[in-house]
Amino acid sequence: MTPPLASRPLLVALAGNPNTGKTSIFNRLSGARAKVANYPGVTVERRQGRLTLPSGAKVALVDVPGCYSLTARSAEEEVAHAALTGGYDDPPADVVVIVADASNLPRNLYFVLQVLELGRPTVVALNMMDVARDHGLAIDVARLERELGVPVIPVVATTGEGLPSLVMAIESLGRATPPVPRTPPLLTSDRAVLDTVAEALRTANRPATAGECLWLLTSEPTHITSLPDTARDAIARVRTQLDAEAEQVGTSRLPFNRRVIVARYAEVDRLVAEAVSRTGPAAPDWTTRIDRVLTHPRWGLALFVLAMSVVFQAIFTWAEPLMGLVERGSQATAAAIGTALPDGVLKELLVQGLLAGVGNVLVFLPQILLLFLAITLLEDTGYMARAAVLLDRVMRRVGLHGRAFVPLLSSFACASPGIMAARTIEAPRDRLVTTLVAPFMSCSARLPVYTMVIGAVFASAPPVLGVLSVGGLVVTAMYFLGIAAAFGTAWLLKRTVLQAPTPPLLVELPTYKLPAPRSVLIALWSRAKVFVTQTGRTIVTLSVILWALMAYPRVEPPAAADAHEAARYQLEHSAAGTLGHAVEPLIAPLGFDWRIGIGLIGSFAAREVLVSTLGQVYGVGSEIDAESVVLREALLRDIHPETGRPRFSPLVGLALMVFFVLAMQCLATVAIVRRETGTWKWPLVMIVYMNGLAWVAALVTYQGGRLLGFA
Amino acid sequence: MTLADVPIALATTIRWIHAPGDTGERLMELGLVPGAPIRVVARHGASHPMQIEVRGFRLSLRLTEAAAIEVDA
Ligand SMILES: Nc1nc2c(ncn2[C@@H]2O[C@H](COP(=O)(O)OP(=O)(O)O)[C@@H](O)[C@H]2O)c(=O)[nH]1
Repeated sequence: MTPPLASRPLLVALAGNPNTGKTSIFNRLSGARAKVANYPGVTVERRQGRLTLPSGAKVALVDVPGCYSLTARSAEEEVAHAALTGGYDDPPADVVVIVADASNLPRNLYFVLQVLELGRPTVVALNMMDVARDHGLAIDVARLERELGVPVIPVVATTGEGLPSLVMAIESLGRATPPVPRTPPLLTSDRAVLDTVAEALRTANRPATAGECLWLLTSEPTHITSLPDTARDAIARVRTQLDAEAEQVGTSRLPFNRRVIVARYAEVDRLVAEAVSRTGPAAPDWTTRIDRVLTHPRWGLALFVLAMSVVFQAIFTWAEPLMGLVERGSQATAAAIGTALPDGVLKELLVQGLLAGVGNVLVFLPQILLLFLAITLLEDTGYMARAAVLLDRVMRRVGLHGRAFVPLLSSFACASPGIMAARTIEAPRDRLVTTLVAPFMSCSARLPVYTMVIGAVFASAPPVLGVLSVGGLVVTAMYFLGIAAAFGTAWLLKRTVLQAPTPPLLVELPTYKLPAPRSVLIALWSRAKVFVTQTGRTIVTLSVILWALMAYPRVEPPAAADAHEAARYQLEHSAAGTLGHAVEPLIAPLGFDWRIGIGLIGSFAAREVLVSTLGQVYGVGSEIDAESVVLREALLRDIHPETGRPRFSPLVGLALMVFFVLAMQCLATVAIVRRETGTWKWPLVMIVYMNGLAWVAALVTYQGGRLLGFA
Repeated sequence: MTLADVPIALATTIRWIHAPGDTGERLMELGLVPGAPIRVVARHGASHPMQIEVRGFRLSLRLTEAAAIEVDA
């Protein structure tokens, strides 16, 4: 049973079409205190915020996934519907706030009508009133309110205009009795169909309103949960009957589901005719002018490539000073602890385990934030939709939807939010393919590995053509290798085990908007928080475990050894050293020795752990990060006894990077794929496939390079 | 005539959605129902999605989908 209202916060659901300013309103109402369950997605995961009403009542504000319809044909719509009516362990929403775009009223009203069919206490937040005014549209709010039978509050999310009234409306609705559910103006015969369903459900002991019957009848059966079998059978019978009828009349008449849509739009047209009028000329249409260039197949694509290059350049160059700052900070802390504490296990644990781990988390933060900043800006301006359209031709070649581009692009930051974003893809097989190939995109956790290897073996190479650094070129090549692997695998999957037709492309191109700085900052803040607390915890824990594996069992070094040799001797005979030696036969063909083996084992929990592991392995202590000169020198000092050259040659470095591009080494991703696909089958397939591919590719790189005469 | 053949800027009206199943229903839920006014904003050849305006917003769709939308000649 749902606990009575007095003992729990008021549950308020924020629903609406995509691009209506839902996130902006959510952030305005709940501030930066939002709790993102698990991972930052693109409004896909369940985000919950808190707010206190003027009366002192507490509100739990839930951000519902943005969608164009509540009829459940995909998991997302199912979740959206459940957020309003109850399900997934949530009670029905006490108040539904629909965010509707005033500058785009007809399609938004369609969604409003669908929500009103559910009979929950509802308020419409008519957002983007400023845009509507610019378009020369006047909306008769009082009229709309009367027609809809629920409060309609004009707001501008970016300035906060109207939000106090919205909060007041929520307050008074929280105590109101639910309204009578609306039904669309259906034909008499179609009403009779609903009555049949209602009657059948009553007999099955599951009474339902007309609106609910309509939802059950038009939704995809696989997306209807929590319905007794008898009720399910009753609905199936009515559906079969409707299908037979449609078969009979052929294409001269719309099928039932489409008759319902037409009826709702008839109502929408009536409402628009009554409440919306054009008062003045529309403002200059910037969107069309900009789109003439940005969506042009040639110029648009060229600008897209340029924009992406700038983003990645910025991530590399702008992050550097900040990373240096983090690096110096952790060095200073290590030094302070070094002088404050006596030598011993505690100091080692703090400096080499804990501090190394914390430093390793923080050193990523600048790059991750810059990448998320870029993604947030692209989303909020409305450019992301254009990019999806531009790339459709490429994506279609491998059998994917242009929309799969967003999840793949997000995966450059981290595969976890990328995979969550794949939920916006409706076709299940396409969603699965996108999920499975997203981890090939070079995520930000691989970046430190690339940076470290390049610093060690490619930094001193002379620039190509005088300007292009070899390091930059190699990293670019690594990104492209990941993209090629993702597309190749998608192509393969769509032709073999996951055959399905290419899904349709229907992408709304919202008008261009200036992002609100406040919203962007809140988005960055919540992402940083999730990264530091959740990912950070894993990295720090692993760092400590790794330290223990390398510090124990304790062995007595040979008498003549200096401090450096003693540390090395200890490592070789530690638990980690034993493990490294154990995997050496497997990785020797790739050019890796047991020390890299230890790093690889550690990196199977989180890739970025490799850098701190190698730091520990090469005995240069905690003051290690990807840029570290100390680690670079240590790697170069490690001379191969036979060749007399550094063991860590450019070729080994290249093989190592290739391995990291392709291997599945991220527990978080495995866990998410398990959750998204609902079985262990796909994560296991992914682990075997990706790591197999990584091993073979690294083998080809190393052995091929040797055949070509590189060492 | 289908939407795939409508020249740029010409305003016309939707007659019927021939797209089957899910695709057809999604098109209609976006407001592309018989009788709705529609206009082609941009097209970029046979292999690129085209842009239309319907009920005051822009939508991008492939020509294969557009060919399943019948409009007034
Ligand atoms: N001019 C204007 N822009 C807005 C308004 N509300 C939101 N935006 C902008 O619209 C874009 C999309 O908003 P967002 O909250 O991300 O929409 P969502 O996709 O529905 O979550 C952002 O750039 C916002 O700054 C508004 O009332 N007026």
